[in-house]
Amino acid sequence: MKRAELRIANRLAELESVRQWIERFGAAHELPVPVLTSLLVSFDEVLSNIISYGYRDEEDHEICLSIALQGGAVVAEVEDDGVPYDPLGAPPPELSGAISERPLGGLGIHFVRTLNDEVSYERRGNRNRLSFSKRVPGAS
Amino acid sequence: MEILVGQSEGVSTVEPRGRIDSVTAKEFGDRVCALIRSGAKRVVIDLANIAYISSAGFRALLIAGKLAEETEGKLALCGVAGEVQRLFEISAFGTAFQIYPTREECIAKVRAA
Repeated sequence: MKRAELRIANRLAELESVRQWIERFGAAHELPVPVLTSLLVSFDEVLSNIISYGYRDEEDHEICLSIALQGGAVVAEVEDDGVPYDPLGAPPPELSGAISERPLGGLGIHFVRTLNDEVSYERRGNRNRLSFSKRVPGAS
Repeated sequence: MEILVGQSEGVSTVEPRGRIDSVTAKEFGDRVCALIRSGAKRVVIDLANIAYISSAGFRALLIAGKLAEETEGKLALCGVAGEVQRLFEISAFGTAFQIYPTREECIAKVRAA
């Protein structure tokens, strides 16, 4: 099965299950370490943003995740019904300077953009859909 | 998260194991900051047994680094290799921290500081 799906609740405690789900997919498809790392970090960044900032209420929400191998790349998708948020619209972080000069934010999306070959965002109805993909060296 | 804390002739060593991400960053950061607040002026963080670190982890490192500066302590890193090194390069955090190629050198440099 070259595609895996997972639904989680909007709680940071779910992220450990997500990590294990990604590791299982990676092992099943023998993904190279850099590709696996990219998935692990990207999902961590995207999901922690959604869970921390995506909702204006205290309700439970469902977030839908998928990973698929297609056309020599691994393609991941995250869909949520939180507030409209296009992470690609965020400004780049401050990437220079001594410790005391660095602000604490902005790095997460920078990682997602840099680790992946393509990142795209779409708002459909009341849902955000973020997709990120990375070529798998040697795969077809 | 498993975090080994040790002492080497006046230098505190912190060795987290696994990954430093949204799940584990708070525990890791709290541990390092508690160490600094309890009086540790020379701290080495060895990342050799970390598979990857996300922005939450870098944030925790940054907070610890700022605390070390505020308390006039010294904090440095070692064991930055492979995927962790790649992530440091992307984040450009290599310039924000003192990073040494070996644990021995890191401990020696921090001790002498």
